[in-house]
Amino acid sequence: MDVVAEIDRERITALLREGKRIDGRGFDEIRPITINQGLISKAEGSSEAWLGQSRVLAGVKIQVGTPFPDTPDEGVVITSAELSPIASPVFELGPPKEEAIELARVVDRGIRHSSSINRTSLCIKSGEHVYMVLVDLYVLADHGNLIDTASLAAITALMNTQVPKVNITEEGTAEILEETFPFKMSAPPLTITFAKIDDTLIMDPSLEEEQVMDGRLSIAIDGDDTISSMQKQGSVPFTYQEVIESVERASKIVKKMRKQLPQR
Amino acid sequence: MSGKNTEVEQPLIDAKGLRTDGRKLDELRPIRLEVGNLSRADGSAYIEHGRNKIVAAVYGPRELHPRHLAQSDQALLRVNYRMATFSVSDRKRPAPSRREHEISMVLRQALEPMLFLKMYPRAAIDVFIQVLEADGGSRCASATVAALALADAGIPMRGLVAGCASGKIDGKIAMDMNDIEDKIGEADVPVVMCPERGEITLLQMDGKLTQKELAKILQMSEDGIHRIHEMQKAVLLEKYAQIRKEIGEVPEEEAEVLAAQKPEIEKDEAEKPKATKKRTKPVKAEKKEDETKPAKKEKKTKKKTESESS
Amino acid sequence: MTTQRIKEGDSVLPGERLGVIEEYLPGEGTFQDEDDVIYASITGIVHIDMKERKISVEATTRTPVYPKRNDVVLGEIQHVTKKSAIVNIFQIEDTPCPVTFSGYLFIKNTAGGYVEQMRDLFAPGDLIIARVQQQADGLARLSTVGTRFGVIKASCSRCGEPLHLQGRRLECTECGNYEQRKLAKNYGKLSKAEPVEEEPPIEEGI
Repeated sequence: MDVVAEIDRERITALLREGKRIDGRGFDEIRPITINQGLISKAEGSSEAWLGQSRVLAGVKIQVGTPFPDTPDEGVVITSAELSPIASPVFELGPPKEEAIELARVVDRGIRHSSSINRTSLCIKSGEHVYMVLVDLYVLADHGNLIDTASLAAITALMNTQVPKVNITEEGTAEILEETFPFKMSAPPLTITFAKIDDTLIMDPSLEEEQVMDGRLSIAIDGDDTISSMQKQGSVPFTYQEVIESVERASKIVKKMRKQLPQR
Repeated sequence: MSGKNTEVEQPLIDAKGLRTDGRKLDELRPIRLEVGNLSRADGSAYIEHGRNKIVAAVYGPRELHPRHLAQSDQALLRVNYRMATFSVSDRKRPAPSRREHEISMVLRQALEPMLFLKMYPRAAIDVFIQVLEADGGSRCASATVAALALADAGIPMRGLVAGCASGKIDGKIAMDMNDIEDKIGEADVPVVMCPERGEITLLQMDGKLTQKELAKILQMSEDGIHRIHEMQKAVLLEKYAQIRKEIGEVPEEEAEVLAAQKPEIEKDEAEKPKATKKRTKPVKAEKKEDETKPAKKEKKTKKKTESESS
Repeated sequence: MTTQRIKEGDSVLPGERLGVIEEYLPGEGTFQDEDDVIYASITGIVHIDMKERKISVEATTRTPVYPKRNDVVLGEIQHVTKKSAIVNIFQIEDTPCPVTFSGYLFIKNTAGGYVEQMRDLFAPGDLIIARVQQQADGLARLSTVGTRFGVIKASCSRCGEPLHLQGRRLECTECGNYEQRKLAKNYGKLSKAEPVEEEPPIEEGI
């Protein structure tokens, strides 16, 4: 580890032992959330989410496609992410790397396994035509905890989405109409990420905290307070107690966060 | 590609002489500019030009990776133009297209003659342009926003470039073409220039025009570019007047006067958690005599045909 | 577009006309064109030095890091010839460089007196503190004249072990080798040398 990182780590861990964080937040305090919906008129739905200074833009495009053979009555929701170099001096051009893929996959799973989206409502004609909902995430500024920021952007973009109505012609082809209806979604899953630094778990790590953390744990809590996905990252083990405690802490904060989300 | 029809399918100019978006023939679309909007970049800017929404980030001069690309006598300028998947009506595939590669190249050549690359041998100056929503003339708007981002990064320049694509619709010459005019109009001429120096640094043309028409289009674009350039200047002056005000250099009234000079640009009402980027305060040593001339006589408008790097 | 006369304290932008070469010398943040006109190259505030008749622009934006005249730099001797040395600069004032800049140290500007040959004073791999005399086209001309400047860390040319200060010479405690360098006052301390009061100013036109 280089010298600068070592000094930063010492500074951060010394504070943590006193129960403090470098930016003065409490261990379970997330940074302020700002949501701007509907910025992109050419997208069916869009939203820019800020978590502190971290900033992610999500856009939703809707296509008509064929369902997967094993789920002929279900539409498809797919999330992808790009860590564009505009978001950080350390991001590079080129095909998505591990980090971007993990980001997209964690956000994707949080939504996929949530009961907030009724996938059968995205079916147009069983076995033939379903809606393909493509959520694309563009990170605009990385100040830490992109997973939670991206998840907020994806959720609020879906809440902002207008689905075009589709007419099935006599020949059986799908014709996209001008008319739209709002994307159906009940209380969405929200993701909370903890950073593990020594034996301390802190919520919503900042970039500085991320740079020195040993590992992290992301937990998506669904609208009905069930867990819809989890992801542990980093080569440091977590104890049973740590996992159970984290879920409990996340669930508490998610209840508060819901009140801050835009209503539809 | 073959979208240029000489036969008009749909009128682009109505009986009153107004265009599909209600503009007159010599009118620009609404433009809004922001500077320093991306908190992690060394310099950044945002433009809304019609329905174009584009961000640009600048990094550098910084270490060049991979190192073998480094030039021993000057910095390497790399420009990357990308469109978001949702920026167009039909979702764009995430992988960069041929069009994006080509536009990256012409934009690099549009910016390169403005920079003093010899000041930073072996370094890289990176310009990343992300189109969040596309309308007609996105490459021109990209040049406008990239120039602002370079200025924001403090990278020395001969001047600011700005872009405007004018063309021919329904047999008439029109300034600053929008999406539909670009698609079904008779000709489209994207131009980027440095208005103060009268230098054209990007020029493309697509369609069919007489020599007279071309001359008129170029004049019209130059006029448009001058207006855009005034907006660039205003937004930069406003931003830095703001900064000087914060550190107590400029009396408040003067800052307000500067802010008021900002033409046609609306205030950013939406209060976002603004990028509180730390700026190097303009407080230098008392009498720092400096005779470094950023490159002496170098008035050459480089027209290189290097293949694109990246 | 009437060009108003530029005054001290004006805010200017890249490409803005500042004056002509008959009026001023072009300073930092400006450039001069073939037509003898001086323009601003950065966004900033105009400063006019009436004594030197020099016009410059002080950046209100961030300033990219690169070696400027009078900057104190930290670098490594890369190559030594009979009369000169090439230096890789990797820190300027207190800022690490985003890229390694090249510096050039000529024998005249090393010790302030007559020196037979460069390798009596420097060896490849030495860490040095130097001052920038001039910067042109990406090559900084350096000077190590003055007690504050010179070598702050060197290795034994025989065995590669660090050399230790022994009186005015450097000694290798491993192999007993003695070597000579143009030493900085703070030899052995890896931080930038403290400013020294009696530091001689740079002479013009060396």
